[in-house]
Amino acid sequence: MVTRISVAAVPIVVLLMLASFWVAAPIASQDAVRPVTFHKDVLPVLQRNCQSCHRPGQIGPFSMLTYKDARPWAKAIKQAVVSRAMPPWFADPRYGHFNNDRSLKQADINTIVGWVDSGATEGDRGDAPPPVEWPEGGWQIKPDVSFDLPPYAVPARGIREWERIAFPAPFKEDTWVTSVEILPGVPAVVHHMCFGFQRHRPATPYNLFEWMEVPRDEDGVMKNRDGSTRGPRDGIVVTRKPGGSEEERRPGRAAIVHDGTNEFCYLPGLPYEDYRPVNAGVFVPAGSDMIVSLHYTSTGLGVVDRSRVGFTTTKVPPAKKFLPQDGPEGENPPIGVQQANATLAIPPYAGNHPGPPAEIKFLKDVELVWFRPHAHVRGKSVQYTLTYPDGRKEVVLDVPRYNFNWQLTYRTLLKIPRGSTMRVQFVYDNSAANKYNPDPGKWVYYGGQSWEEMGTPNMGFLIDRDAGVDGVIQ
Amino acid sequence: MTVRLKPDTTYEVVVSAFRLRVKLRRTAVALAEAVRRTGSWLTAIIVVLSVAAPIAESAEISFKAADGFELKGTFHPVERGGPAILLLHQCNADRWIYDQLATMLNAAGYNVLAFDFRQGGTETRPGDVDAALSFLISQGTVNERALGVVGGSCGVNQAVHAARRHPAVRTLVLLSGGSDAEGEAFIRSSPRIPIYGIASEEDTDAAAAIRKIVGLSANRESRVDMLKDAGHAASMFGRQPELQADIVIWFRSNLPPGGYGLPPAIK
Repeated sequence: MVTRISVAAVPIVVLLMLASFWVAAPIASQDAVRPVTFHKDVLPVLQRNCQSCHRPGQIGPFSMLTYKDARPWAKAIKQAVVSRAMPPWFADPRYGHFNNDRSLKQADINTIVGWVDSGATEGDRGDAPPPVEWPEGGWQIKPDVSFDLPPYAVPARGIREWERIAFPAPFKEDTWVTSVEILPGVPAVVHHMCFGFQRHRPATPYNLFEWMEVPRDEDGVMKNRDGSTRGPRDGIVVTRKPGGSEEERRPGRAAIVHDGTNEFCYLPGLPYEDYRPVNAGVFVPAGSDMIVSLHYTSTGLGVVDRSRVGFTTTKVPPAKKFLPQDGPEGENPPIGVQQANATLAIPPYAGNHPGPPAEIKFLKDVELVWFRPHAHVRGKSVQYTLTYPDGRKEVVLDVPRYNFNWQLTYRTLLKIPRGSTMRVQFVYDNSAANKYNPDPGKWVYYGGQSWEEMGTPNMGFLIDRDAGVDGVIQ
Repeated sequence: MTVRLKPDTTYEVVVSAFRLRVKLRRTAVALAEAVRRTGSWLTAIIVVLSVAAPIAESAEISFKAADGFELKGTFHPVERGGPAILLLHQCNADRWIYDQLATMLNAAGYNVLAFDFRQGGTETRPGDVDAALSFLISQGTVNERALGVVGGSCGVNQAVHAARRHPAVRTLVLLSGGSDAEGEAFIRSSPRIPIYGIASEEDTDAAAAIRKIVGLSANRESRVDMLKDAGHAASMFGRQPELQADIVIWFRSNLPPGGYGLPPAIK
């Protein structure tokens, strides 16, 4: 189509353009001379991107709630945002689309740089946006129901195996859980804390820590390299009552069995899980049990951990149901994954060692809503590649610099057609260049302790509320 | 490359308010927690008052050196427990030169001890440093496997030798000073210890010493920040107050208080 403009209209257009420049020019020059101030320019950026962690009781080393809180850290803030060390976000922007992308826009970085370089001044308090009303008690969600886990005394030294403890779910009637937050009492010793719900089994004991004894060598490495993280299915079962130190041992199998999967987790740096934005939830029938998987790590200082769990719930059933795939540490369908963990063996000083890839086949149409790759201190990178039924391949998440201290959930909305396959490839760095590598001279094998390695391609899916969960993925 | 901020008249007010805010915040957090656990404001206030001493962010303490000499210090415990940092002041100064840095480190999750060297801060003895480290690791909130040391000027040599004698010292921050031949040999043979060195260019001897000692480190994280017109050792904080934030960030990266970065204690 050709647009015709009358020759007579040209001068009018030119005049209008000049007029617009004349009007705009004073505004632009005002912006150029107006100093960047904390209250007017910087605080909105901090509220949107930083305060969830940088406030009292959260993991940030200092608060950014007010000018007085943030001002001593101005230069450090600038360096962190310019280097993109903060906010923590590790997905390569060339791949995928993530609705919780925490990386700062360049305009926000420019604002902070401008503020610091011009003296990091406070400005007029009247320019400040209203303070964000953060939930009380250290929560990021505002829980409708909260639940205190029993105190757990973590000794200064020794190996704590993965343990389980069961409780009646803290709901009296059928409940849809729409978000969950786990608040670790002493984050330094909590390696993971995950849980799921299942119908009560008469043999399940309540309020009793239980784990399998894992045969280990003198360096704490599992002797049986069978790809498990919780030890043998048949072996020595150890139990301990909360608050007690006496351990009881018996031969046999664990009494606390989890039929399903861990629907919610705490891991270092992992924020809460929230399905409200996608109108989804997890259905918990009345009378369900809550099966908690705990893994504490001794760090040299004996402490008592008191962790809490908070839930938001809804009486209106959401449209979708959340279905996790939590990798091979799950024991039952539908979470089985083809990943030869037992073959993982990272040679000494290997700086770029690929682990055995995971291959996950989708047997029904699903919506993938998050990725949460998990590895330990030698984890270097991870890539998720989706192959569609027509053979087309697409990298849907690439994390070139995996950071075990920030085990982030990458939220997306990806419709995966039946017959697709996801290939997940972890790469490990066992070299001396990895500053968190405790010993580059050792072979490293699959295992649940942080000096062993994992490569778990956790993903979360949505399915229709009334759909069955069996046979979704293989 | 060092970024310098323009002088800000509000800064002094800000930093003095910082400590008070930490105090008030901790009390508020403790009170809220007590209310949550007891279900009663009155009971909670009684509980908080009864444990007021542990909540206070610092305490004036003393400990004895091996020869019985009493050394005075200020200890900032961290309630949840965690790593500890020892602050060694420069000669002709005292521990208060680290007052603001200690508060910021403590707020970021570290137990902190600053103490006065003998003879008005002019006599630095290795045994006194050892006694200070012994005091630290005897505290119930200190992880004895995760220690850091900051040394200024004549305190630099003491910091390096403290790391030589105590394997639990995982990182050093050195301000405007150097070490003797034995200390240099230790740094050269200790690639596991990341070192952050800071000096001011016109403080030429100290700047050269810092460049030398950090240059000996084979650790990939080790680095030097060379400032301009900043002064000497902890006195640099007066002209470059943001330097203290840099030191806190250094420790968060190289002596992490949590997460998987703190190596497990198997044995």
